[in-house]
Amino acid sequence: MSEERGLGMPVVFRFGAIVALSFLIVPMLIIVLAGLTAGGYLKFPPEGLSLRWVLAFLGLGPGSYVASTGAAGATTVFIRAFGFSFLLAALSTLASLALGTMAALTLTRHDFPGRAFIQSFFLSPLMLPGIVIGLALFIFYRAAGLGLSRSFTGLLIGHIIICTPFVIRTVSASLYNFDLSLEEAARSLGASPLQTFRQITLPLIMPGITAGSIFSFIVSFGQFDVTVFLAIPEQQTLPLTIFDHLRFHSDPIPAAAGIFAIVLVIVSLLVTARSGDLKAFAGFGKT
Amino acid sequence: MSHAGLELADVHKRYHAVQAVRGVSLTVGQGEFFSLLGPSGCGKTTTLRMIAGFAQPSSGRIVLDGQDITALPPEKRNLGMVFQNYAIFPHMRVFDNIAFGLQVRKGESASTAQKVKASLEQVGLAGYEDRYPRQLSGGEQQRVALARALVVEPKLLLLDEPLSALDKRLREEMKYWIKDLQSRLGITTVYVTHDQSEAMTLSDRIAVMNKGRVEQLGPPREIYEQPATRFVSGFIGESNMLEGRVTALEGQQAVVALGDTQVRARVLRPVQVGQSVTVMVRPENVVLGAAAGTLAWPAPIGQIIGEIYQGAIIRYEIQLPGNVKLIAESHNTSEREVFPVRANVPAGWSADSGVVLIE
Ligand SMILES: Nc1ncnc2c1ncn2[C@@H]1O[C@H](COP(=O)(O)OP(=O)(O)OP(=O)(O)O)[C@@H](O)[C@H]1O
Ligand SMILES: [Mg+2]
Repeated sequence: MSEERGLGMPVVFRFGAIVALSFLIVPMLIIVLAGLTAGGYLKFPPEGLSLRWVLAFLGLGPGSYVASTGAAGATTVFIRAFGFSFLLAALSTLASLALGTMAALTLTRHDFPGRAFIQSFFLSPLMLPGIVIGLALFIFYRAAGLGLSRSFTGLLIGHIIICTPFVIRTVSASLYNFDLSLEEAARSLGASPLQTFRQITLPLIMPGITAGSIFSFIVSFGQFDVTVFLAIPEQQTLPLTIFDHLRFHSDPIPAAAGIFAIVLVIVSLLVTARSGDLKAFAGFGKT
Repeated sequence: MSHAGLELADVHKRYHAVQAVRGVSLTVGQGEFFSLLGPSGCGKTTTLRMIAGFAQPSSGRIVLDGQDITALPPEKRNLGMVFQNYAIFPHMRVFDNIAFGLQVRKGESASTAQKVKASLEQVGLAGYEDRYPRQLSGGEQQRVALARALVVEPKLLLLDEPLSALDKRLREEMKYWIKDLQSRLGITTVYVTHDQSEAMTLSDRIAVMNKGRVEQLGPPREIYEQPATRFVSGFIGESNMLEGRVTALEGQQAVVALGDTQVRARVLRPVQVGQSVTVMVRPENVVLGAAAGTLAWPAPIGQIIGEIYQGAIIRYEIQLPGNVKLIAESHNTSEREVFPVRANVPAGWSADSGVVLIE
């Protein structure tokens, strides 16, 4: 649909849009190209193109990284980190969806003293630097002595704290212009509160929920600064693994990992774009 | 009322500082078309929402078919409700919208499709099953909303300003259509509106509400011809409201002095000589000239100070002695008497069509 709306805008604005887009896309292109280099170092422009490092990341292919370092399966380190980040992101997303949706319902549907305060409190992780949240949790876990320190649960809680505000935001947005008489109509037709929620409310706020899950997943998957404080001994996340690797090595394997992360995000966006939820995700137009 | 459909007993509702409904008591008979009529903010919707179970009365009781439903949740009340904005489920086809009530009650069954079909036929929308709400016009959405409410065979049909979102033409058409459907089904109906002509046309009885109270309750004719209060007579139709003092009482009539002018009107509630009252007369009941001369009481002489031509109706503005202004309307028939502006003519009304109002 290339329908023109309004009277159009000054040419300068379009130029600005192109500049902004370039800033978003160029780094991704550089990562992708760097990961596809035929040479042995992480640099740009690449020295010829090949799938060498992509295959190496997957633990396949000749002249692989494993041999050159001698470390037992450095590539599997990346694969495992990728898998771990995926699992962490999936669990954080599920938990944030449940918590965030309930919080959004309460915050938009009920009026109680201090609501505005609680609302901004729930959204504060969006505003606070990750370092602050990470440090706070780090100290809290140590002090609380609940065994959360350096545990998977502790890490997961950290990610849920980061992700939930995104769900609250997107779900609240779809609840703000929700017509309450739809629920009342359902109730008067004989539907219980639960039936009403499942058959009327939930389908209608689905765009917000989908948008919230995309946000949440991407944020958790790429999370770095909070994770640094909560890292656990058994397994590192992908961003931490990339960071560690860059400190001691100069090969392009992190770029290859980056390619996979980018592909993962693009695929998840494409899958949901079809349902039209992407507009709500980006905050464009109504759902 | 032998077999009462719905009864409200001294129902109150307060929202924090706002007293939305202050002691409404009324009874709606089986099969009756009952309207709640009143200006914006008088508590009509709140009353309806308490009947539907969306709002809980602060005090008072609501009884349906002999059962106290005050504390029942909406889904247990077996009522059909049509909302002002229709509240059609936007993510469901017309079929699923109408089937919703059947499906949540008993689950999908063989008879569902049949019932939906019959109900669509009833509202004149056969073949609309697969449309989505956004593909329907306002009038069609309204019919779907009605079909959806009626298909579950509710004990009571509640309608909150169902016509206000439609344009004037469609509103007129739907008004008669709803009336016809209601009387064919014989379903007890409570209809909320701020449009007095809607309430008049549709209702068996009307409760006129003001500031959370019922000011008058009765059939349209009684409300119009024998308003109980100044508010009711001012809200329903047009009226002359003449301030005066009772000078004498003669049976069912009072003689009221409006300054220097003596007029007569019916007494519906006890008044005393000397009491300040308002005499209410509908413009169409004011007669002029020769017709005024034949009244049973001496009509005062007034001066025509204005004339407005409205096609079927001519409106005169008349000044009675003592600076009392009176509006008269007469049908523009060929045999009507013509009064030039500034002419002095007798102006009066049959004593029974004037009403003495105290409140
Ligand atoms: N949920 C609520 N919270 C607070 N006050 C309310 C609420 N609902 C209604 N009111 C107040 O109660 C009063 C009556 O409202 P109601 O909606 O019943 O009026 P209405 O007669 O339906 O008016 P309208 O013709 O404008 O729809 C109003 O003063 C309104 O502001
Ligand atoms: Mg209302």
